Formats: sequence, C-alpha cells, structure tokens
Amino acid sequence: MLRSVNVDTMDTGFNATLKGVTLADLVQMKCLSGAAECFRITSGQRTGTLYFFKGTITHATAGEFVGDRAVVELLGWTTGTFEPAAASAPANSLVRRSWQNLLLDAAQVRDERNRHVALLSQSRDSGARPGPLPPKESPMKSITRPLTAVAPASVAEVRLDATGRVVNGKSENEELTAVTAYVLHVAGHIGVGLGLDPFKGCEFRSGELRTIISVEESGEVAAVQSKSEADVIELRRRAGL
Amino acid sequence: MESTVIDTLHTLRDIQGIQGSFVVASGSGQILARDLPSVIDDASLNQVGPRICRLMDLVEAEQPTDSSALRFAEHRIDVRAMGAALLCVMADACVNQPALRMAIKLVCRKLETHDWTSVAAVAVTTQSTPEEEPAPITSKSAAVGGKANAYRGVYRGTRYPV
Repeated sequence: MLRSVNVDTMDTGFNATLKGVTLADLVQMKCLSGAAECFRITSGQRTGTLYFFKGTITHATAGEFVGDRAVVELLGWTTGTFEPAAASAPANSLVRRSWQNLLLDAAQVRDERNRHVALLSQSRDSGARPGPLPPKESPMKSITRPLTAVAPASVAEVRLDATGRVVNGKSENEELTAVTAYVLHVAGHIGVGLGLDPFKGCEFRSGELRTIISVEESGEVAAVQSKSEADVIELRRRAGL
Repeated sequence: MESTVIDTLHTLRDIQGIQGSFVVASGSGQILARDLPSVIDDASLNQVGPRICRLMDLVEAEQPTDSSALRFAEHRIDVRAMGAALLCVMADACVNQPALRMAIKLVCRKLETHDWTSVAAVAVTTQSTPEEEPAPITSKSAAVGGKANAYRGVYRGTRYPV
C-alpha cells in the first residue's frame, strides 16, 4: 500500500500520516473535494506526479509517460509514498479522460494482471503447461499504456485528435496514423455524397489483419491494427460496427 | 445478364434495414450497377465510387483488403471485394448484422464470376465525365450491340427491354 506523507499542507484542515492508502483513494479524495494540488509519487526507483485542479486530473507524469497513460501507469503502482509538491501544472491539460474512467481502466488492468498471475501459478502448481492467457484488455483502454503491454497480436495502435495530431504521447505507428487521418477525410466525403450522417468509424479486413478506426464522442479518433479478433472487439463495438 | 445483376442486388433488400446497393469497378471506381433509392443521384454516386476504391487500397497488408465497413451515425456501408468489382451495401445502422453478412455473401457468390468489363466498357461510352448524369439513350449508344440499353437498365435500377 502507498503511504501518504503530509497529505494536506493547507493552512486549514489536518495534517495526517496514513497507511494502507492507495493512489485511487488519493485521486477520489482530491477530485471529489475539488482540490488544486500537485503530488509527487514515489514507488521504489519510480517517480511520478499528479496534478489536480477543480475536481479533475489535469496532468500526470510517470517515468517516460505523460497524460492519460501516466495516470493509468501510476494507478498500477501498489506500494510507495506520495507527498504534496510545489510544482504547477502545464497550461494545457494532457489528461483527456475523466478520473472515473481512468480509475476503471486501471482497475481492469490490475484485474487482468491478477487473473493472469493466478492462472500461471495454478498451472505451475499442477505441473501442467500454462493454459491460455486471460482475455486481453480492450485496445481502446490499453491505448493509454505502452505498446509492449498490449496483446502481442496487436500490430499497432494510435489515438489522434480531430486535427490529426497524435495524442497518446508519441507516434507509435506513422503508417496507421496516416491511414487514420486519411480515412477520416475520405469517409466524410463518402457520407456527404450519399447524404449520410457523420462518420463514426470503420473496419478494414485484409486476410487476417483487421484495422478498426473509431471516432469517439470527445472528437478523438482511436485506431487499432491487429491479427487477433479479441484485440478489436471492444473498439469495434465502440465504433458501432 | 444485367437485369440478372439488378435482380441479384435486389435480393439484398429482403433484409430489413438494407436500403440498397451498388457495384463499383475495383480499379477505376466506376459505378457498374446500382439498386439504390432515387434520392441518391448518379452524379454523387460517381464521386463516391473512386473514394471507396481508394479506401480499399489504403491499408497496406500482405493481402489486399477484401472487405470493409463504414459506420455513420444512422447508417453503414459494407464493402466486399468480388473479383474485379466491389459490392457496396447501404443499410441502417441497426440492421441485423448476421443476416446482412449472409445476404452479402450470397450476392457475392452469384456476382463474383460476372464479367464486368463489358458493363464498364459501355459505361465509358455513355459517360462524358464522372460528375455528369449518364447520357440518355441515343442512337449512338444504342449502336453498341444493344448493351447500352442493358447498361442503362442496370445503372438506373430499372429494367428496360433490350
């Protein structure tokens, strides 16, 4: 469990030292109270920061990660300490998703890991070969995590904003980025030509390779290329395909 | 033969939610046949065809793209490669998808061996530019061994005596 150090440095309120607190607890507490604070998180050799402002997480860093991906990464840390820091958040928020959404995402990632560990230990105890891996997390959610953590069958993932800018930290796959941006324009023209409604998403199949592109309500666009059906189910559902 | 194409495309409408379909030449995007509501005019459709082809060519993979689906808020367009042509099916978003897939599969099975080159050749003679409406039947177009009549029948979604 994470240990808090001087949780509150404001003039009013209590100063406290708590044990058994999780970062999810911290996020809920600070977001629900509408606090404007920065916290430095340490877990072993790893360090990160979380910025809160008026009930939202506005910025986060975790090692090389920033934004949504950093929040999910931080919420996966199970031991360490957090303490208030004096740093101020950057002007533009790099966390796009709601804190509730990020908490759910992190919880799912944790559950998947635990199930996988349980399966492995179970097969080790019985002397049997490890069974099939647990269901892979959805590409849409895993998109906030490094590609190495995604199902191996996933060829590429990318998330763009409405202007075609890569928003998931860095360009993971230039080809998929270009394809996604192009599809948005051409599919839009097709919709206009046939008098159809706004474009919501699409799927391409080339042999075993599937490419799914989904336009989300926020205006962001997520794209996944995979040879595994399981990798694209969630994104396909979100795209209404 | 072309009226058979229309008949085959029309079978898709057995599935509730399917609004119509059309066939596009794989390379050029030329519209080879249509069975769509008249509200979709030919000029618009002629611009849609090449764009659908470009989308199908977009994803670089070991194998060519054999199918795709475009989802709009209330509608969807499913595209399936069948030989030298693409079958495009327009449907409501809430269409029964297994039924849609099966209907497309059946139509593709019937049309994948169809020789589209004759239809495309006639299409070239009757269209001056892709944006323009197909020319009405004239003595010049009718001179193409009766195929002009046949093509027009396919293109308009209405059968004419050949």
